Amino acid sequence: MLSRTPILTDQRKLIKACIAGDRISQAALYDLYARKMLGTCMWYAKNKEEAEEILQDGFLRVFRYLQGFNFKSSLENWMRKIMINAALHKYRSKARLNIVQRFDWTQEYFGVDGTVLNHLEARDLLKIVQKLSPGYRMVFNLYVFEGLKHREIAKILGIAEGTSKSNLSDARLILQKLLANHNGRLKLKIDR
Amino acid sequence: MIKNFKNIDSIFKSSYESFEEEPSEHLWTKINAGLDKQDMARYKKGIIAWKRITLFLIFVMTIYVLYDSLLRNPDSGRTVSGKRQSPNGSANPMNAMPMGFVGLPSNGSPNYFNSTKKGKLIAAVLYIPAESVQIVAIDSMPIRMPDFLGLVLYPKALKPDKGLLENGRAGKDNLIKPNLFNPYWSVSALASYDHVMYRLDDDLPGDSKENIENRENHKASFSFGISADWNFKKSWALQTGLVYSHVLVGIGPQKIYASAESSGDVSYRYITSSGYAFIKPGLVNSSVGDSLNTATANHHLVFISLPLKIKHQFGIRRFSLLPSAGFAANFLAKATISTVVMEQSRVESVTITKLNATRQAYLSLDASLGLQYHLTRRTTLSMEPSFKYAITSMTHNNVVNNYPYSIGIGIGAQMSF
Repeated sequence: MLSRTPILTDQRKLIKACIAGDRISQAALYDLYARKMLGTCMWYAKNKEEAEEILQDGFLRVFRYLQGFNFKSSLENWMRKIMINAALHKYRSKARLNIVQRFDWTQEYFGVDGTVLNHLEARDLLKIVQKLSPGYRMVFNLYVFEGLKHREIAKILGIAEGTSKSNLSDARLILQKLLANHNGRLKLKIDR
Repeated sequence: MIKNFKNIDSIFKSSYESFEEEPSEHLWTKINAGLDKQDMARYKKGIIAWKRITLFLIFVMTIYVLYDSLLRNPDSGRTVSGKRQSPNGSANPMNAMPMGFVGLPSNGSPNYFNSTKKGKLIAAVLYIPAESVQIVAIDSMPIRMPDFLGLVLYPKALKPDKGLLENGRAGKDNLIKPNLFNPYWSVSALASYDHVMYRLDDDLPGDSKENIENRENHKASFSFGISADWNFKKSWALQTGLVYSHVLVGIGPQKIYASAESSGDVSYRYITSSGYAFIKPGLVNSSVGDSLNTATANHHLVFISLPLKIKHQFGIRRFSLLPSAGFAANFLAKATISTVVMEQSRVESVTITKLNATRQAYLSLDASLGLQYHLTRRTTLSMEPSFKYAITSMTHNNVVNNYPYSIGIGIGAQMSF
């Protein structure tokens, strides 16, 4: 006396079934996008554990608001935005953004060898971004990855536009320094 | 050397767009639990909305009843005898409205008057010489006022009998039959919101009772049906009918274990308070002793009940109070369980449509206290709190004996014939 619901492959049907609360379809949607979405969350989190917390909250939001998805954009992009919102919410709720302050290093120049950069893998770059403080990381990600303007970032994060600009500048300097450190280690590897 | 920030940005951006990461195995389980919480919150919101609607309807109905009884028609509902009788009897409040005035002066010649109040006919009175007192009825609706010898109220449109007007005597069809009660049938339709619970007794040793009680929680349940009342006396009736009841039980996650069925097949045993089922998910090749986790489940139970109750009636103006008590045979018509079985990150939905160790029927004690409002001579609206308690278990040889009980509040309408 057993019946099984087949996994729905058609995206529109899958979305409708998810909206209806069909748990097996929701699991199917999760299976389809979990890897990509966790990939996004990783850039906004300090580590994988934190990224998974964001992913969990993000998927709950996805299922809650899925009926508002209008099929005009791709589902993946829509979900990605939800994940970023979940990440922003997490940092806002923990007031981690308050630590955003002026970077007081001297404008030291950190040289980075372009040929070495080509040998860096995405995971290495991710680890470097994860070393940024949450405030710098958010500004850098929103500006560089999402293409937002400083005015928009300032509004989202509740900071001044000038702070957003200076945070981006600082974040880039830090990244250059971290890349330079990485550069040295990597160059040794390549030379061998 | 890189001096151009845009170059760095583009390198990071391309990595960002292509990066993927494998989630931990247990992550879906957490999301699944979160979805369960969301469903529960949505369900509670729904219940609150229904409660508000119900309260609003009760409020509107109360306002209407008060308006109708006190303001719009202050004389309505007044009965002469103060007792409600059958729909064909005299004391139905609607029928007690006097409609005109007829007088016979002492010279014996008929006279007819209309006495009105605010444009409505309010009284019909017949004066008859003392030596030829007649108690007169029209349309089988006699209302006698003994203090006024020969005074008769006509409850319906005044159609004085021709013979009465000419001779001062009532026609044959209009003669009163004092205290006559004709038994009659009435049919009701009732819908009820039920809060269902159960009493569990351990049938087999172990801690199953506590586990099941912790795991299961009853959700919104409802019932609706029709009933027929045989009003064999003025204030007494026997009631029977057919009632459809839908009970929803939420079941929390549990670990299920594989065991051998009597046929030799190895299946996972899913245990509930109302029976158990064997399921065979396609996720794994199971052997005895293996275990699987299940997500939350919805357990639907459908019963068809056949009640037999005795009812007593107290009437106050347009209202009647009807306490009733009796028994009901409750037949299990359908039992389903929908859940999801999880094996690591893989999931499979499972629907159980057959339960073992469930009885086909159980007996319950039924009691209710109905409040009726008489809209017209034949129709009434009613509100009925009710209580049901199982006196036999609905399970047999299950890990627990299950005695369901419920408190309900119903609304309905009744038509008398």
